[in-house]
Amino acid sequence: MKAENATPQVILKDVRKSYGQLEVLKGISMSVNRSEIVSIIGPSGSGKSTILRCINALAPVNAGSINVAGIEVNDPKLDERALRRRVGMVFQSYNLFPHRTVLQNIMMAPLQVLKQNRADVEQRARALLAKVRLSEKENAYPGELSGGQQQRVAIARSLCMNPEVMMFDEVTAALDPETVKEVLTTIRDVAAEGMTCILVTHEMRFAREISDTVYFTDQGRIVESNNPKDFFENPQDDRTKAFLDKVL
Amino acid sequence: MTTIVSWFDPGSVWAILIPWFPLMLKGFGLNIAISALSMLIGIFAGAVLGALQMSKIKAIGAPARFLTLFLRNSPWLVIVFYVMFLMPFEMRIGSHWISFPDWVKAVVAFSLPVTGYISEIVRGGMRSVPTTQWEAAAALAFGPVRTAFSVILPQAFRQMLPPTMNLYCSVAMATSLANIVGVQEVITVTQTILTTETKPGLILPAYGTTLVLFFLYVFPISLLSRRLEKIWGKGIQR
Ligand SMILES: Nc1ncnc2c1ncn2[C@@H]1O[C@H](COP(=O)(O)OP(=O)(O)OP(=O)(O)O)[C@@H](O)[C@H]1O
Ligand SMILES: [Mg+2]
Repeated sequence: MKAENATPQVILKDVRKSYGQLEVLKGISMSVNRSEIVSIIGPSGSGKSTILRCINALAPVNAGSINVAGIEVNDPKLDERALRRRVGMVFQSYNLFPHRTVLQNIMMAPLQVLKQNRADVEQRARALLAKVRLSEKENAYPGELSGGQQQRVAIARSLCMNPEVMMFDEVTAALDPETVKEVLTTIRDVAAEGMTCILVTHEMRFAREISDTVYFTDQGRIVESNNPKDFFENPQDDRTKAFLDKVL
Repeated sequence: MTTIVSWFDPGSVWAILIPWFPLMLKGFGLNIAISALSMLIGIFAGAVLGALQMSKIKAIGAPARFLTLFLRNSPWLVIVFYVMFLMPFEMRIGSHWISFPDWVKAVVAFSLPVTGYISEIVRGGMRSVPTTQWEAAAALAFGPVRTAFSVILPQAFRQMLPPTMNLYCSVAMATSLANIVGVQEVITVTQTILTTETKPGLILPAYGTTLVLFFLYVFPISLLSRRLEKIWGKGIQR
């Protein structure tokens, strides 16, 4: 699965982030290659979401550097929009726009932000809806969809910006067990097409199956990272062992 | 029956008032025009001011919040006086002189508090939309202004409409203050009637007529606003 052309596309170097007095990230370094699938796992509050939010500049960092596809995120003159059109993000709570139909949700950003041609965007949006198997719902409002369906729309919405990196933040955590599968299938499809993916997840089996690299975070630090086989079968750090004992 | 017939006896109160009705209606038309125009201006200015209040940039947010507070907490009558006396009656634009009749000044005066109230309604409406919506839009490379207008305000619309309608009712009634500075609105007309006609006992029926006019105009709006509030009370649900 590991891509041959190992060009780093997302690089974090000693990233530190505090909220007030609380230091949430205490020196995070990681490197994600093009087409690599990376999973971040760890206990609640260990800073997983914060890492993702720093990567697309939703949360400014205090120290260290983040480089995404050549864009220096910690640059005071950062063009946030240029960064965010390269990095898609899907949230645990879907966050679809409730006043817009499914198709409109997907088309809004390419039309309004990228100012792309409507016919092209519509074609692309329909193709993406077909890919997430929701073509028949294009005129539905988000409130009329199940959680799993909403989440797949959210993934399609993000993909319609043609990002180079996709980030998924516990996108199945709010779903019923039956619908988790359909969303994981969608993510698997996205990953299979060569998209660089960073996912925060509690689905250990999925992380093991899909990832090239697994990172374990605890209290704002990366405790351990490895290929999934060794990570799950032969964890090194005691904190990793304790965590895996609890969740597996 | 006898009372109704006696209304139209020559020399009765109503026989005197009824010929004045067209003029009173015309005056009331001015009340409606002033309230509608000042509301329109206030909605646009207030939407901008309300959005500015939300700005994370201190140099923008703080003055916007102060101005909102100031506009909301100044007595309307005082604002009317200030605008009447501070605003020139004509102004030169290029080679043209534009004159401001009193009713235009009244429009300007009332649009000021409306701006303050709308600003607050807009801020409250925007805050009612979960911050995750801002984040989702930001993650899709929306800028803050586009997020506000494309994502946040449409969702806040249902919540903002009823208080805006209530505000309009207040503005419509407050336009009667304009009589103090001589605008020919319905109260001014009524006072003219009272000084022209000498028949005693005219005061209550005359003011009663204006009361009915205001009530007939404002009550349906107020009812509608209540119903919308009930229907939409629980935010967006589709
Ligand atoms: N906006 C914020 N303001 C203050 N503190 C915050 C903020 N966001 C996160 N935190 C704190 O930062 C720490 C890390 O949060 P983060 O959301 O990154 O954890 P997480 O690993 O994603 O946890 P979970 O598995 O519960 O989602 C937590 O202690 C949290 O309380
Ligand atoms: Mg999280």
